[in-house]
Amino acid sequence: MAEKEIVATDYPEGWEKALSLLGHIPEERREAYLKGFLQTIMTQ
Amino acid sequence: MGLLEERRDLVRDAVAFKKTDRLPTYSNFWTFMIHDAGMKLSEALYDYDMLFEAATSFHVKYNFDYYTYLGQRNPFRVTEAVEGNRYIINDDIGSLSIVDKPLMMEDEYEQLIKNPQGFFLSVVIPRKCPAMAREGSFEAMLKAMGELDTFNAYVAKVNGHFREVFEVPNRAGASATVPFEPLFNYLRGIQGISIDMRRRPSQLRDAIAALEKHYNTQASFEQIKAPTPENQIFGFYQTFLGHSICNPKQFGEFYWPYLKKWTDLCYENGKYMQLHTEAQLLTFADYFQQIPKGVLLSQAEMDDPFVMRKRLPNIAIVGGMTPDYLGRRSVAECLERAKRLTGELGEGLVMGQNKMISFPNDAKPENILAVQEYCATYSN
Repeated sequence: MAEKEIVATDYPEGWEKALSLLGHIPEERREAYLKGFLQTIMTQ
Repeated sequence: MGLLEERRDLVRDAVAFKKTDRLPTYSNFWTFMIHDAGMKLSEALYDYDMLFEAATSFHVKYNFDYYTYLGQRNPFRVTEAVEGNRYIINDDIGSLSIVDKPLMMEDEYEQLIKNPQGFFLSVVIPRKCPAMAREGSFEAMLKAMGELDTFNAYVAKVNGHFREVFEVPNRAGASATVPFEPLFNYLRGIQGISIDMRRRPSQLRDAIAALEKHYNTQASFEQIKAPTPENQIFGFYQTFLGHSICNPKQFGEFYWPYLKKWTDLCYENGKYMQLHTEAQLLTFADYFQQIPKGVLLSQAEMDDPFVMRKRLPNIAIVGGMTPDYLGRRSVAECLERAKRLTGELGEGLVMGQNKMISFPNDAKPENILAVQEYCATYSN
């Protein structure tokens, strides 16, 4: 049986993969950026 | 001194109950400015050039001293990229309404308490944004992030234009998340949190402790001590919405510890704070009476400003003009209201609108202009 594909809302695997996709953002700001993005889509 | 500094100091002086050469004015106009520009919500809220035009033309026409809204809310292009838009636009009546559906169930408190970030990502976001939880999720996420970058660029552009071209100061950079607010606003909703306060007080307190840590609410105390930028009015700005379902004892537990610390720190550090609220504050007058005079500017949405001044002579008031006056009365009646406000309240008033002005019929342009002209020539 094929393994389930990781999706963005899998925790912590999705979180880790999402961070790895943010190469255009300086490493020290990636976590804050992802947290801010998630907060925006959750609250708005 | 330039116009930006003049506007900034006028507002600060009003908060400090000092006499001013003219009355400062605050725009609590929201989507009304889109209607006023002759645009449809369904078009302008997706088009940042239209939003920019709506905001700038509104200022050119009415010239408020500072603003709460310049189009920087409802980032639909971001949320729709992950299927997370809960708003309904009705262009026929010019309304924007939200689907009030809780994102957290009553039996999920322990998950939230144990790990807020993990809970938000794995439980809350799949309910709110289904595209984040199925195949292709990362592509959808990156698209939404691109939209967020575009939206943030709009916000920077419009804020910069207001500062540099119109010489309008920023309101404040610093604010915080009071932990009760996300529970009220979108996690449990009005009905859910009302029941939880009675049925699950212990879990609710543990959740609030976990959320305070997650949002680093305590960092706001250090933010107030930092220097306020020259182009900014307040050292701190805060919104309270969930207090509207609290009794005084609950307010004392969920809101007052933060508000007391913020206002004490403003007093000690020569700063000013604005509080944006809905509903009533006078229910909690016993707390607000303890705030040092001259540091807090607070909205009077459902409270009568004349009663509020008598019971809270230490709190400056922003508001006074209501949609009933601005939208349905004559110019003469609006001017009578403005004269009564300035005459009876004296110092400690920033003329504004008591609630978020959103609908086309909430105000008539001639009424807004008449009140603005009155404030420009009024001296206390």
